[in-house]
Amino acid sequence: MNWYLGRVGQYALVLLAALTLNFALPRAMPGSPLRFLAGEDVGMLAPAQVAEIRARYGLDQGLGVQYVTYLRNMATGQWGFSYQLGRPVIDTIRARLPWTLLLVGSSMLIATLFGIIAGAFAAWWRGRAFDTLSLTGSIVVDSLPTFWLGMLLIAVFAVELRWLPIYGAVTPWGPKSGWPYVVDVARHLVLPATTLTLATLSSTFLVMRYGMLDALGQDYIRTARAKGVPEGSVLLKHTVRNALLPVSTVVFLNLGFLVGGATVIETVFSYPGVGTLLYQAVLNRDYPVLQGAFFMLTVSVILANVLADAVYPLLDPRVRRAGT
Amino acid sequence: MSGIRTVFVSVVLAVAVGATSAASHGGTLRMAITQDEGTLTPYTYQTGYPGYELMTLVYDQLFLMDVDLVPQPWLAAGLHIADDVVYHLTLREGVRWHDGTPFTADDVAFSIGYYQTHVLGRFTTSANKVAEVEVGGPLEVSLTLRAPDAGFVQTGLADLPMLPRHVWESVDEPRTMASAMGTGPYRVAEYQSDQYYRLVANAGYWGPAPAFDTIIAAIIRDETATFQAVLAGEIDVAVRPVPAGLVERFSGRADISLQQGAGFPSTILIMDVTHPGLDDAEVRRVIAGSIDVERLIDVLLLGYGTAGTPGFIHPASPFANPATAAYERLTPADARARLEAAGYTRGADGVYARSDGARLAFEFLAPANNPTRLRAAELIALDLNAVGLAVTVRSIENEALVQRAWPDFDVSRGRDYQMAMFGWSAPVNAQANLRGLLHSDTAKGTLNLSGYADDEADRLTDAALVTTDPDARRALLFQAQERLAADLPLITLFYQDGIYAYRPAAYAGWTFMAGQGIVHKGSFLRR
Repeated sequence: MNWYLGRVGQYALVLLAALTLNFALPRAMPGSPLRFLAGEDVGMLAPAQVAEIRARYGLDQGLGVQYVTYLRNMATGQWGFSYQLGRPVIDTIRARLPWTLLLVGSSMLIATLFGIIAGAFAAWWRGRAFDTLSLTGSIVVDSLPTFWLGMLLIAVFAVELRWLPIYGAVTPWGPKSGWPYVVDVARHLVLPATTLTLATLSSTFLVMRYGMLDALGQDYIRTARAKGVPEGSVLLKHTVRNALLPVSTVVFLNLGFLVGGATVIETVFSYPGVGTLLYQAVLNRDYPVLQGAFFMLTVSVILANVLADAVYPLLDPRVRRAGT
Repeated sequence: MSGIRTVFVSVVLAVAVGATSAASHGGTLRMAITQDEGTLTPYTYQTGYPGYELMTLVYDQLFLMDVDLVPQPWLAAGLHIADDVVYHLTLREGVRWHDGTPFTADDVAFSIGYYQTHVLGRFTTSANKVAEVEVGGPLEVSLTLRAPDAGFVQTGLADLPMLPRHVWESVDEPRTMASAMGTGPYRVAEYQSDQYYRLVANAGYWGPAPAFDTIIAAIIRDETATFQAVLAGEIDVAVRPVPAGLVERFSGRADISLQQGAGFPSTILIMDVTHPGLDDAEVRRVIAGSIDVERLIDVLLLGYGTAGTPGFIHPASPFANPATAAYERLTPADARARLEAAGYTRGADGVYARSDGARLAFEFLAPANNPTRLRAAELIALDLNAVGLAVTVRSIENEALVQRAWPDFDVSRGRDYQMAMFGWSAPVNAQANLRGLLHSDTAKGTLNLSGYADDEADRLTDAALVTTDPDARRALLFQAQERLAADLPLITLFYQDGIYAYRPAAYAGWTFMAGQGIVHKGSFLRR
């Protein structure tokens, strides 16, 4: 029981520290959100009018006062309005979150499954052609700049072959409901999701491959083989299950960042996700959006950790015994 | 002087505003824009170009700038100016808001009052020039200015979008206004944040018919993706200028047309003229003369640019003084001779210093996220270091640079830089806002980032503001440019030409508005 209380206390501390950083970091950046609060041509305004705008949005108050207001607003769900878009922060995040979950979630799923399977076979057939090819391939793809990879896919599949659309998540003049809409969304998803999958594939693949190699060198594998356990069982029951433990850590870590979006890919494909929202908010000093989006990110990372804490003992009996 | 001075003929000259010559078009236009422009109201649009242009497809102004930057009557059918300060406007009959409510003089009075009380960078300053508004009837309204203002039709009447009183009178926080409704040729039918806008023609528009049934304005943030979409035929026109490197590739294609014209947004070198060394106009003249601007244009813009003039105003502007058209060019030897004649001596490290010890060593800020300006700074530093100055380029994030050169956009807060790469958007040039750039009073010289102070420049720019005779005003602006050219508190490097790409098969009625480009209201209307 004490162990759980301690855990909760730890998470509460992490949350408070993160909330404080979320408040302090945007304000530590040089620059000012005035350009967006005063609209275009803020330079035309007289100093008194600029002061009026600062007062209207509470920017003239001391940082201490702003911090207390911020904590209260975060706690009560009053996340305010985006300086840049003039819409409630919650709405701007809500509009983009489904797209981010679709893009990042689908690529994470594919990359994880593909990475596990390819990593397992690469290690199983260590030194053979498949291992060499997949290892080299993953390192090469991993070192390509993501934006360049995205542009390459656009140039080939969208401009030359005209198989897939170049930008956006849906066709603006396209279908709005039913199967045609689903197909439209799926067509727009293919290129960004493929780019993101390729960009993230190698981490799961490499962790799985090294986990497998480590497990294959253990005594229990030798014992299993000596007992005459069939090779398929050695692979699946004895090696893969053990090698999956470090992979699950990577997956849980990634889960926390699922809602953070993929800024570069969202920009290249004009995909309306949380990543570009955050990026624009940083450039434009849109404090309310930064605070709201970082808060969401903080909570999701903490939740992913809680989930990892809860699931890990189920996956690994050794943790279960140590924890009780 | 008293009495009526000017009368406009109340005829809509659709040709004059650059409306398309295509007899009819209709259909859907697919246009690529660069970023989200909010809900497209006067308080929520984001950028001067293309945001303001999109917003004014929904909202009308009293006057509309034509392609040569001459204001033409729009919601106002006629204007009489009395005593230089009383603007008597007769409004057009039969104009209705998108919801069917008639547009009246009350809306005009309300809009001006609203811009005065709800501060917004672009509109409040012009609205505040009005001291009194008198509604003389449903279609009659008189505005009395606080002082004569030669540019009021251009910067006020042709700029302020009219707001529907019956909608906005209950809006206290205009930046959260969710729906856009005006009298303009198009209505916002759909807005998907960060994705696209769908505008549809206002069938009951009072003026020239809308050229399209539907306009899709898709947000494509990435430059390369934008032009790939034009190449692939997914997009009919891009509001983004074609980068110099792509011009050749596009100009050889039959399915894509280009329009090229003067671009008014400037790239300038600003200096803190109160900083030791830079406080000497001769040093600034040596700096200006040592920069090889033609090389900057060739290398950075592949030739698609216009050299800046010492008087700042673009040569294509009607306000440009031909006498301040070019900088004096100095070879490194000339430049050194000029510095030595001015009392500077070269130290052992090869850097010139003044007798009071002020070394000509400066930090030169350049924005990290603007490759053109950053590379320009590097090239300029090479030129200046060859002369015997020690210029160190420091690349910093753009907002951080702005904060150092222009803390909180308020010149009265001083400045914390020595030299920096900067630029002004098109309206500063189009409106010849030399008073903003040069005036020493921080309430008037709101763009004077150099800390420049000159009584003669103050006098000339003050006088130009209130001189309503066009020739006398131009003469004053010419003299102000000569002051600027002599003292050089800022060095205008170049103006990037505007080159725009579109698919003529989809629509060929684009017209080029001087200094701005092809995306302006007239391009979206039939003749």
